[in-house]
Amino acid sequence: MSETQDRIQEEAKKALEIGEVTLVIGWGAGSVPFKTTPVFIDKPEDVEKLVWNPACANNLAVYLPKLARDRKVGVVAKPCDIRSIITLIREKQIKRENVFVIGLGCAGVIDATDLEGANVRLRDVTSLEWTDDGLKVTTESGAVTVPPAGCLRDQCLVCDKRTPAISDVTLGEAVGRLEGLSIDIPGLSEDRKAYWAEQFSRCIRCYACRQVCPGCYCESCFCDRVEPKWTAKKATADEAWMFHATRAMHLAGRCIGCGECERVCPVGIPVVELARELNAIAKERYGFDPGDADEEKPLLGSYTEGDLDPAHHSE
Amino acid sequence: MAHIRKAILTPRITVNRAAMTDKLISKNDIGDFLKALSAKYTVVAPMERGDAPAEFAELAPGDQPVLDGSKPMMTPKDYLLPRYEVLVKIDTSEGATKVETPLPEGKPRVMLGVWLPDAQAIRVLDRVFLERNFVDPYYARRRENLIVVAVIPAEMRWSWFCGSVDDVEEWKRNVDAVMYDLGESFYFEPVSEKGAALVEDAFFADPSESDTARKNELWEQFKKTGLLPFAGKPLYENLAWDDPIWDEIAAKCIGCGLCSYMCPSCSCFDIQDETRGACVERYRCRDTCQFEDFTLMGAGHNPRSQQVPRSRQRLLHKFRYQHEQFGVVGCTGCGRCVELCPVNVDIRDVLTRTCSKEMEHKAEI
Repeated sequence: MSETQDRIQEEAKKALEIGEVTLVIGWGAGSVPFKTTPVFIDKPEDVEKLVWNPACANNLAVYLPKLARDRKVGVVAKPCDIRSIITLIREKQIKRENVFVIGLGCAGVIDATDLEGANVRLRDVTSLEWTDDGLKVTTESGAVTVPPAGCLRDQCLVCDKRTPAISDVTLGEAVGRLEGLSIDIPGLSEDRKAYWAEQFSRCIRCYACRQVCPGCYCESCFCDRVEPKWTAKKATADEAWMFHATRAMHLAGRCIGCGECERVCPVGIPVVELARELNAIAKERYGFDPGDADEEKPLLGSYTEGDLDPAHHSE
Repeated sequence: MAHIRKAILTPRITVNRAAMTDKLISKNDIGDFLKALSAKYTVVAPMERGDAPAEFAELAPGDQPVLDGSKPMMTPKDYLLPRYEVLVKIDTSEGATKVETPLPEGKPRVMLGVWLPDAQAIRVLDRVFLERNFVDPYYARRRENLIVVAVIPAEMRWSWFCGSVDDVEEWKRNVDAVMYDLGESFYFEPVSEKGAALVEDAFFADPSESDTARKNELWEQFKKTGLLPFAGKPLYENLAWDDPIWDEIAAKCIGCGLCSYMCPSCSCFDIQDETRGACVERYRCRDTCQFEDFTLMGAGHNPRSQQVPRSRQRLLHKFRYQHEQFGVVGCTGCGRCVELCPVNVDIRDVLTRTCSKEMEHKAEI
């Protein structure tokens, strides 16, 4: 892992020194060992701030529409983050030539709160590292190894795209998909209306899910509009439903399933389930995969006469 | 409403702690204790909601709240200052205009299982909603007969830094009672007469010397938790308007409202009118300085149109403006923003850094 980290720093340094880019976005050490924080490196001597460890959760593509608008920017990216970058390029939010992708093979990122379930006191953690057996958690009183299934984020458990789809430099090793695991999606069960009503009743409308989403780059979101008022500001289940359902539809065939929305939700709403289901429909009906670098046009911008229209054809 | 203000904000220095006796209650008796309490009070306590944080709710018979402070929880603010509250209803459908102001009941309430930093945050909310020649009647109705029982859990949360922002001994004097989780039982320490009145002889016993020793040990642990380099320093003097740290935070901040919506003491709100047919509902909901439209004026001007001043505002408001206005620290070190910020902007780091460096440019604010 640290070897990959060294390589990231080297590549970033090189890119800055030769003027390939004027800025590299990556992860830096977090305030605690089980978190990282986005860092913006614009001097070759600062590349030492860049880290690569099992807590590199943030999808840094979220910063690109603003930062790579008029200049070339380097970004350190996991395979899922790269799928976001592909989407942003396809949707003409950034130009391919304006982004220098330092792509990483990935073993998945962790959910630190899971470690508490594995009897790790978070305050004692000093470092995290992937080993062949799982996540090695070093604490002040020794080290324990937590199996991947006990600490990976849900979307990482079932992820089968662990190598970069596009990149300018590829570093690190991918770890294959964990066999025999699937995500239970209660939100698609028979009584899903009751399920989502309960979930949305907790929504506090902080919009962390929207703000952290690389797909939510609209300069003016429908739910911030006062006139017409699509959804009211009050935090009720109905209004939250309007917000989340509309956001999900806006992300249909666009969400690449990085799960950032779910990670940041302070009240534990499984937001990504909605987009995951809509993407499954997009795949089934139109064979469209938003993270696929070969797709030239966005799903909703690529109508052909042969497209299935469930409203008019029985399936 | 003036009497309410007086009752709540009068310092409790007149209380004679010696006259109150500490008690012990077995966790086995908590169910019966809650039942007995419910006969006299509306009991409000954190209720678990699956994997989500527990949320303060009025208990129904048989409810099993989280009283030991061991779980992540939403703030007491969500009960005292609901995320959605109707202030006025106007109905003109039948000719005459009917105006209704649905004030909450001023019934006696007891709030249990409140983290001590959250209990102190209620005191911060009190300053905003009960002082300065205006008493917010909605808040006051829930607050006026509220007994607050704080909890010191068996295990302190890793993100707490209470002792670094304020004098926690003082905080303890501001609640009605404190419960300490001793494992099989709670050590019950009344602080006010109202707190002492909660004791029911049927469920409470006298603590042994070792119980008291364990309670004291827990308190010492709480006091030591999260003591950082800025502990005891005058934070309000060290946060400067033109500190470059605001640029650094703003660069990574994604501009969500999580930190302030999950904060127990952030109190900003919006008021909106919603018209349906001949009816208008005026309601209050959350708002935050982190949103771009928070300061957007009707004519289009926005004094905080960029993230940098928004990031600065959050910290300066908590540590400087509230100190100047009310003499309180607007942050109680509960650690929610530390744990939950999507980009790991850690308020503890910000305070550490602003306090440790030479402030050469302490500009006037």
